[in-house]
Amino acid sequence: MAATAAIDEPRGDARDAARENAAAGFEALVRQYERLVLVTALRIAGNMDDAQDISQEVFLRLYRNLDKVRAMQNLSGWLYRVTVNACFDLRRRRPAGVSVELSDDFASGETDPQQAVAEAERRRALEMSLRILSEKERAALVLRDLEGLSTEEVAEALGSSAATVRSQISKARIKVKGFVESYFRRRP
Amino acid sequence: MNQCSEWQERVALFAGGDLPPAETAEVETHLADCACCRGFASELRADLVSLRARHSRAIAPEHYVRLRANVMQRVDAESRRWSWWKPALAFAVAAALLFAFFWPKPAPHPAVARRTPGPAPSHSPAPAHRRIDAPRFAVRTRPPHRHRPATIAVSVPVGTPAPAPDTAAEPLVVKLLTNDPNVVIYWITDTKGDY
Repeated sequence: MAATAAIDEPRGDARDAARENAAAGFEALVRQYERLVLVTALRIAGNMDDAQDISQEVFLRLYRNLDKVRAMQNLSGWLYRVTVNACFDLRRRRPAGVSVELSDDFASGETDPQQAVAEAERRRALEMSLRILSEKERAALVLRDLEGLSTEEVAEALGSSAATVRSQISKARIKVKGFVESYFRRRP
Repeated sequence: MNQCSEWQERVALFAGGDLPPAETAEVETHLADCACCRGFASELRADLVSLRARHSRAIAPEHYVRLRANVMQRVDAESRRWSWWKPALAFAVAAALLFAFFWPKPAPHPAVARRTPGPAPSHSPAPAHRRIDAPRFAVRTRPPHRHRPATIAVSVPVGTPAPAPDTAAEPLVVKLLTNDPNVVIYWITDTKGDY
């Protein structure tokens, strides 16, 4: 009886070991997709602290849905969708607006110092221009132009049609360009 | 500023390679004739290249380490928090089954259980309502008020002449009054006392 119980019911040590094995397996999954989630969250949320919070939520949802996710063909698509939704949720909870982290690293690859500074300034303005976009426009632009997803993949991630996404992308690009132009027009 | 505002959206899509082939050909034809839109497209392409370059920098590894540590900590906490629910659910189901199996079944309603014939109906004239303070059988009603003992009065409407025993007659209606105004029991019997 005791032997049967020992076989059927894992003891505390065995349970811990099973939990550790599962944790190790999940950690491998996190390592595999951490760049996708953290970078996307950073590009949409605009700062590292929010991106960290969002990424944690995404991986916790992944953990809770592991059974569903295992049968899934396109885990990346699922992660993009959950990440975008987590970004939107956070923005609703903290509606102060997107604060873009502006790094001092302006290395642009230009050999001419003046050109390097100009290029760095341009990139800075581009980064700032993301603030003026609506959350959907920003997400569409990030997924299409920075993550390199196809329009259909972006549509799936945003839960919209491809036509809606194309409209959001074109509006976002026009706004970005308009912002950069007005940014340099105002500067001497 | 771009003067061809109606072309702007399509040129913006064209610059990122997002137009279907038919529309791409249309935009290319327009760009061949319109310097303004050509400039708009090339500037937009340059902006997109700069934006990608800005975002192509790798995130420092310590950010990934921090993320992984926080995620695994929360996952561990979550798995420990929910590890008790399976045994608890099994226990609850077992307890519910035992309770259902051993719980004493309620006795059948006495009016159904005791199918003994009642007394023969009275043939003699009676007062308007004859009150019988003690019932001949137990009647289970809603629980009476705590401080008032339950009493059941049986009132038999009279004035109805008793039919001859060998003829089919209307049934006798016995109305049982309780001290609870919400409980009134009707007992319908035939003349032989069956119900």
